[in-house]
Amino acid sequence: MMNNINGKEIYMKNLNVLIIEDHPLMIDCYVKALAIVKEKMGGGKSRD
Amino acid sequence: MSKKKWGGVNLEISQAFDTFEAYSQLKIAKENPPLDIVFLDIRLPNIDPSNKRSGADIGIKLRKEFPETKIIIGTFYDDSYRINNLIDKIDPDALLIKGDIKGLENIASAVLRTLNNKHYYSTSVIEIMRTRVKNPHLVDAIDRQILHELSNGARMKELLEQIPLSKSGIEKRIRQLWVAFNIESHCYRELVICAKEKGFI
Repeated sequence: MMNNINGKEIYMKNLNVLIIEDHPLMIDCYVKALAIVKEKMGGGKSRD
Repeated sequence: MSKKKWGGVNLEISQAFDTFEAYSQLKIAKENPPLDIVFLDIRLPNIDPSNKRSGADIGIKLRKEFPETKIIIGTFYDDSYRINNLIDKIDPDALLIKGDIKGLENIASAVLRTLNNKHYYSTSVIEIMRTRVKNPHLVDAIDRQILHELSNGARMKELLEQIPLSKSGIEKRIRQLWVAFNIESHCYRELVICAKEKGFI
């Protein structure tokens, strides 16, 4: 998959993310922010 | 540990809630690369008392063993000493002081910048870095460690346990700090206050 972010092209087939965090609120924030990133990368909305 | 797989884009999210789980996840990631992004809190619960490693140690391991991985540190710590140490030892791709985060867009921007091979620092981190740039040769990492220990009330005995220098070496450093900060009274307390005002502690 070729994604265009701020005018730059990034090839990304998979995006593997590890969240090392114990605070539930922060984990939630990171997951929601990743959903925004996914949308901006053209991946559409998450099913979660 | 939990794992989510989202449809559409191949976005996989793994989680670790303490240092033990974090090391387990890194072991798995080592066998199943790549690991693109890690969100890391440096203050993590440690469920194994025999394991003294911290979140910062995980960051150092990540930087060494996963050089391509984008490290995004989120921390409640906002003191200059810790922030400078994180930058020196881990060089995270993004460093967010949690108090600076105003919304999800801040975090999303951090992720997007790191994916573009750029750094992202939250506002307080930028302020700390400005102080550092303005005074590049004033204090180094050992000076900052001495100042940090002094601010915690350490005496020479404790300094000798914490600082990798001899007694005369530490005394020389403190004398140089008195001169650098223009502390004519040669008082530790004044030195600590001045270093705090200038953002070194």
